[in-house]
Amino acid sequence: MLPYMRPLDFRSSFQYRLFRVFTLLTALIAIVFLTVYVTIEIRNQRAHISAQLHLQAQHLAETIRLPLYAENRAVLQQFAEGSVHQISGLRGVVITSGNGKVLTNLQLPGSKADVIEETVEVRSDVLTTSPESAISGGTEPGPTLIGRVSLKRSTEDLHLMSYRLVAISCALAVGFWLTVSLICYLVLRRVTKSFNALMQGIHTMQSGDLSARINVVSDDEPGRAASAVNDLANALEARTIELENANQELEAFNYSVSHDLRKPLTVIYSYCQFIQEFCSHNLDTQCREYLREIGEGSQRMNQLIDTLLEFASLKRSELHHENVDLSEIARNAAKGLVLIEPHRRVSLRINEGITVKGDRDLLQVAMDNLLGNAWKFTRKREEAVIEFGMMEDEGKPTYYVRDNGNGFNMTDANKLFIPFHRLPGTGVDGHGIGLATVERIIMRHGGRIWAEGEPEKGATFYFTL
Amino acid sequence: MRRLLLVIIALATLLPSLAQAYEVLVLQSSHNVGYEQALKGFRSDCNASQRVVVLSDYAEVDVVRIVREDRPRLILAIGDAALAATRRITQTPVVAVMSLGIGTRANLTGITMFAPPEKYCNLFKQLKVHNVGVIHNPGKTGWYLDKAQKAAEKAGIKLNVRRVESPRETLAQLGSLAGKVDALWMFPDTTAVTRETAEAYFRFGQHQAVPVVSFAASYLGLGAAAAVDIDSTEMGRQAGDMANALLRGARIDEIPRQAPRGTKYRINQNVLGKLDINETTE
Repeated sequence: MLPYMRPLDFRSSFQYRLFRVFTLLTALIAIVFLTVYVTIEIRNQRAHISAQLHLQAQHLAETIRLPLYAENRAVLQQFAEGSVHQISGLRGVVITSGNGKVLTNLQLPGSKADVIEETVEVRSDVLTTSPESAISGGTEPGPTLIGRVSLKRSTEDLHLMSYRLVAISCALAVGFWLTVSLICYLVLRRVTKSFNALMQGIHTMQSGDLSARINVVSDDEPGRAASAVNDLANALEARTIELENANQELEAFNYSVSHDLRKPLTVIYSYCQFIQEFCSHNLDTQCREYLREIGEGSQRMNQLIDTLLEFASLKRSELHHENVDLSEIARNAAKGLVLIEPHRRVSLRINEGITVKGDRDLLQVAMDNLLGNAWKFTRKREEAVIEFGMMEDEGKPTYYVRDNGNGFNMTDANKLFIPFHRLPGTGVDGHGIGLATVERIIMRHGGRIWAEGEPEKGATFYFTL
Repeated sequence: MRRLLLVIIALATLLPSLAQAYEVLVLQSSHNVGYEQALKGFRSDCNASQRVVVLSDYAEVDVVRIVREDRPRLILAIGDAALAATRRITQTPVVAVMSLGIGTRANLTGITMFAPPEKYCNLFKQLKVHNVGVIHNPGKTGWYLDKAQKAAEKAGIKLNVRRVESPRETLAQLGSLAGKVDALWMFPDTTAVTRETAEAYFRFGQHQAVPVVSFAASYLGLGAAAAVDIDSTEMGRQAGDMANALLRGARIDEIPRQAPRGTKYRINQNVLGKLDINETTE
């Protein structure tokens, strides 16, 4: 079976591929956006918490300006402890004077691994002026440094917030992805409806139902293609009927001619026998030789007619499918060949257990021809080898008959199966109909046959069913 | 020939000094509005020739050299920086205005920034307060406290006095006044009031719900209830009168430092309203 005739797998369908591309692309976009969003949001949250802590530190700085200026440690400690209740996740408060002297160092239990620290300077009030400036109406050069406040805050709540954010974002992304995928599926199903109808129709036709026609569901490109295929199918059907009729007439003519030729041939052969039996003493040696050749010629012609009739009958006979042991058929055929020429040294290697489903009689004919062909073309070999076996080719069982006989040039490979066509220089007797018969049998089983070979190295005939 | 030589020498030495000759060297600390107003007032009353040097315009000013070379008859120091710059001047009389640190020096006189205590006491009476808290450094404003005590006694006001030696003590001393006073008198004392501690006075007033009476109107915006503000222009005029007297030949020890003439009450009605104090008349 040709590759394009294989039944359409859902995974290789156009609709599935488009759907897969869309969904993967959507998932990728969703993941990218999710990652960017979560990263930015976590950064923003961290920046927000830092800004909040900075504001809280500034607030504390504003509050403690006077006790810090007075370096009142007790009051500063009170403020620091008060901050614990006001600022969640606080890990430490350090208050230092303007010259760096630590006045308060409040450290709270908890992890110090990942903390945010904000330090602000405590400066004199911008609005407050010295007596000199108050009197003169002047402005102060700038606020003076009184000290520093440093707050440390844990990021545990930020982690919890981040996990929650990731979870919610993932859920939203999955929901988005599923929704888009569903919409994609529905849209694709609608868009590819005409395409699917076209493919289904073509597949039905490929499977042998040439009377089937494609349902044209739209006026788009696949719809127009379906109409064109229907027109082609109509033309093909008409042509097939014509060819079948012509073939039938030809076969009838062939059968009739073969049958009609047999009768005068029988008369010729009978009279030759009669003359040899009763009048041979009146003939000289040369005449008797001529008479013998006439008899043998009529015999060969009779065999040729039989072959022709048999070849013609191959197309007419009905196939009876059953389980056939090809190994057994090959073995029996080989036995017959050995009986004809028992003196030959031929190694027959027939793999056991090769069974197929097909017409036993036709497969018997095919195997007889293939093995007989191999037998004939290995006559020149002192140690001939003929092998029958099975192998896998593209996942399908493929049967072969191999020999180490005369072989052939691969340029002639296509001429092997032409009826009555014999390759030049073979030096082997025959009508040139054997391989053509095999090909017809194989094709009737829906298979194909091909050959590989090399001159003087042998040939291999492969076939599938 | 000898006469000609003497004339040349005299011209060479006198002509430059004639070109720069002035009577009053005005040392101004900076271009602040108050200083400019004081100078304006001074000029309105004193017509003597002047040279004005604004200290903030230069990185360093050698006042001693200027005085030695220019030989002014009088120095007017406007502001604390200008007064400090005249510290090494001992011969030339100095009149200081707009300065909180006018001490006792032989060649120094001027107009203090301390309004007459009576003015404050009058204001306290109008505010109907009797216990007034005061924080000061005796080394700087002890003389003024003596005057204030006498004026308060006359007005029937009791002063609760707290002494400080450094600005950091101010906060603690303020805390000690909590609940004991019904008004706070903000002295122009550079130890008791600094840029860092001024805020504490107004916080105290806010927490204790007592009026804070200050010495400068600029504190009204920060929470002072009232202020006895000094008119800078009038102070300049007052200094001009002093300079005129000195230029006429009066000795400096005959002209003691004076309290400012022009003072004015300034009221923050919003603060007074919040303290439930009726409006006062200026």
